[in-house]
Amino acid sequence: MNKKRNIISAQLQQFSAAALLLLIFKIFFGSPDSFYLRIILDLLTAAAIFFLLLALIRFENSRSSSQLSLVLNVGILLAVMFFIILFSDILLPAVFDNINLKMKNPGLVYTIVAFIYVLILVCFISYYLLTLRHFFFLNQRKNVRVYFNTMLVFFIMASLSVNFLQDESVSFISTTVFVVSVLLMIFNSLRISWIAFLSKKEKLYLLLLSFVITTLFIINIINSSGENFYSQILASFSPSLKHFNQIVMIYGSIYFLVLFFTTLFHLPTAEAFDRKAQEVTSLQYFSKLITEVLDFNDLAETVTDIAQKLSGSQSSWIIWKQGNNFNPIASKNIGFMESEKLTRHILNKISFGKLISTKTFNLGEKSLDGSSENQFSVVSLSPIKARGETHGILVAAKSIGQVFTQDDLNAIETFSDYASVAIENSRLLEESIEKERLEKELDVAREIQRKILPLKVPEYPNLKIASVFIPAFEVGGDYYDFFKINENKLGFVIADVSGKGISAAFIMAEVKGIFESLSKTIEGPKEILIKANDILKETLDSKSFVSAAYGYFDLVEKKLVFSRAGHCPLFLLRGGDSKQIKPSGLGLGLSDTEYFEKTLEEYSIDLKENDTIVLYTDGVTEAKNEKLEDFGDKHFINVLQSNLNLSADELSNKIIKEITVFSSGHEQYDDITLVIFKWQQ
Amino acid sequence: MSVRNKNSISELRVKSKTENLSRIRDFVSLNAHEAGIPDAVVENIMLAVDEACTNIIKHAYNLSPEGEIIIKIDYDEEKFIVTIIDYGKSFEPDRVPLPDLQKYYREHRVGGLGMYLMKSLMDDVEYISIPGKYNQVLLSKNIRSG
Amino acid sequence: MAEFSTSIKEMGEISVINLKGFLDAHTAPALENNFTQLINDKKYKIVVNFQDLAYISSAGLGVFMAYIENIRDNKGDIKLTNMSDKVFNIFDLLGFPLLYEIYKNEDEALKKFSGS
Repeated sequence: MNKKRNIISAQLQQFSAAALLLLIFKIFFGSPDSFYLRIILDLLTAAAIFFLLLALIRFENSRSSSQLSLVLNVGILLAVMFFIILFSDILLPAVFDNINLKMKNPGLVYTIVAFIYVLILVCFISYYLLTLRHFFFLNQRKNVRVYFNTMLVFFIMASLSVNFLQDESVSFISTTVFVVSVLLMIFNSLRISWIAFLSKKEKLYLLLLSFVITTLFIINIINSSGENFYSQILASFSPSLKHFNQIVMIYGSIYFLVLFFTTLFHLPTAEAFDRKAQEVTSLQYFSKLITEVLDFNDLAETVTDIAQKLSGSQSSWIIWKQGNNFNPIASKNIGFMESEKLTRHILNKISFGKLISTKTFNLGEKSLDGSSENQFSVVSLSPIKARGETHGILVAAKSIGQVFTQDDLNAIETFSDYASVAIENSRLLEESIEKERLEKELDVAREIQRKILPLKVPEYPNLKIASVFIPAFEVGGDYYDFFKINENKLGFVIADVSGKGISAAFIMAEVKGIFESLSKTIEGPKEILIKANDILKETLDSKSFVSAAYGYFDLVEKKLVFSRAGHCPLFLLRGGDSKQIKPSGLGLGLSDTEYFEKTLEEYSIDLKENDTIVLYTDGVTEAKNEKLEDFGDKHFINVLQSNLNLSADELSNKIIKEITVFSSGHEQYDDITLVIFKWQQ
Repeated sequence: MSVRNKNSISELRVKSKTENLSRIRDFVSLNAHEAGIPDAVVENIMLAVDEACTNIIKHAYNLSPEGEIIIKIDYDEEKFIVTIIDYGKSFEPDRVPLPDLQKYYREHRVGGLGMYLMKSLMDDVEYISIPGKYNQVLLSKNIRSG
Repeated sequence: MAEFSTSIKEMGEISVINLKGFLDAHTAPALENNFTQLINDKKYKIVVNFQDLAYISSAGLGVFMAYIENIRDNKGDIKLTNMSDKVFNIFDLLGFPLLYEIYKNEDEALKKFSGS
């Protein structure tokens, strides 16, 4: 920054030096007739203007003003100039009496005043020239400097030739040079493509300004050709300068005239152009977003926002497929109920999967429930696809009286391609994050499950126990446990939590805690289950549901007492028969204490030699084969019936083998738990 | 082997009146039979949907007959899914402060049984509630073919 | 498919309600009216015959629960008979067999009343 300032000030110094020399020259030589003196005068003038232009160029580069403000500045300066000229006819004679005499024989004061007057005008002219130069170079890709500089050279030549080549015989040269200059002006004035990029409002403003400016330039030209003081002072200073001034004015008026007409002819297309420009910026903006916004919901809202603007629609939303449902999401400028209604209407008429490219769809005049006028006349539907599959539809809706132009549809089509990529990326990212999270969760769930299940079965001389536990991949929520109540009493529990994964595992852990502590202080199974129901009622959430069976073996009294809270029934294998025992009882956690208690039975069995008690979870009876048939109660009973005399271990192995063979063609969905007690006196 | 996959979702829209419960049951029964589900299971699904809709009429719409209930059914080889949507008051079956829950169940013991039935008869019950917008209950049953 | 009707016949002290059709939240009030009527008439010995009942939901079950306490306090009872397997399963699932006496046929229930 400082370097720039230094350069500018250096150039200003050069300018001041030249100007000063000029002044001194003027003081000493006035308006010389000598050829050489006149050349020196013009050289000094040229030098001064040159340095001034350089300084102004540098200055202008360091501040980037908008085109319109530059134009405005030109207008303002012209207006000021106009007034100066207007008033110089009045003021100057007032300041200097007998000004005409003064001009012929200038005194020091007059010279200095005239000098300053000319200096101001030179500044104005430089500014005009500079602005015209700036506009010339605006938005030009090729190296077009040569055109402008050639034109400038001709300007200078024209100015000088009028001054120095006044002979009749050579006046054709000055005319020719002048004509060439004008031709170059016209040629260079065609470089006005920068106005295309103004908004419609800016173009209107420019139209007005250019009209005013053209008029002012023309007035100025007329003024400077007249016999007023302005033109006389200029002429007496340097005829070349006067001509240069006129040439710049002519250039200015030609340029702004072309500008005026071009802007005028641009107006009808201005709005369409604005939209196109908006489309491009939107697409650029969105391309950036693709990499930045990763959250699916944010992205969807951005998509509908841009889609609505791009197509000039009133509203926009996305119909998104979630499993078997199609829901409107990211609604923009439309209520939820309305978008729901329209979505349903649209899906009734078109097949979601069959939409390949953008289509429009007319809505009737009546609203969909016939009750009121329809708010929208037509919608455009663009598929949001990934890998050939349609995941959603981007909807844009226009209000009554409006239609989709081909341009709108093209824009939306292109945009929906972009959007599809972005949305797919976001989805994939979320999916992989989710997948990773689930895997980690399952690891934790398996760990919990492993920790809460008993490591080994208790051993008793007359009670043989076998247990089998085969977990499902996604952790199914089964739990079983043994509690040594005292030397003679063995408590047991078997339970099944609905749901899967880590939430089921947590509930299992909670259930374990409940039964472990309750079994220490309460003996009766019914009472324990009632208390367990009380606790679980408070803590279970809506998705969960626990079935359980709790009981104990009294080894001295030789009996089994148990209660069943909604769990699978118990099987008693005795004397060649299998019997299903299903005392009444509701599952844990859903009903109030009073009702739970009323509907819960406690059941006692007096144990006989070789009695086998089988406890299981529905992972056994609901194991599926490749035809998706259940293993089923009947099949289970058959297996038990056919293997009555086996030991607990052998029986459990047999059952598991049967299940494995049956379900070999199908993945295990639920935990399989089997606990078998065999009483041997 | 019966036709399993549905090409498009079946939908029924009714007002929140108890007199529509039989229509809803018929709708479920029709679709469940179409899916080749055995009668006994169809009965269970019908009952579960009945319970869910009764709950909606009573609690989401406070017995007002002006509300709308949307029942959507979709199924494939493995699952039969009923989605029930209402625009009424959010029903949060999750944790509710202790006194309220007890009072709720004391006074609405039957409502609790309804939920118990839903959970016992279906394989999965899920609630989504978007306050101010809509509530959704998803009931799904794993079904077998052949 | 929404029809529900009841008919009451008097068998001495005992009132027998025959249920027919579909008992859900919409039709339950009809059954409630029956009970209110019977209680008004101080008829506390009630047998409900489910022979022709095609369907029952928790709303129907709720009717029984609403009145049973009052009736039993008045030394009466509601006994349930002739349930189809389908209907019985629902009752069973909810633990009703422990709360109510359920019989295969009407005669057994009537005998029970006389016995007590």
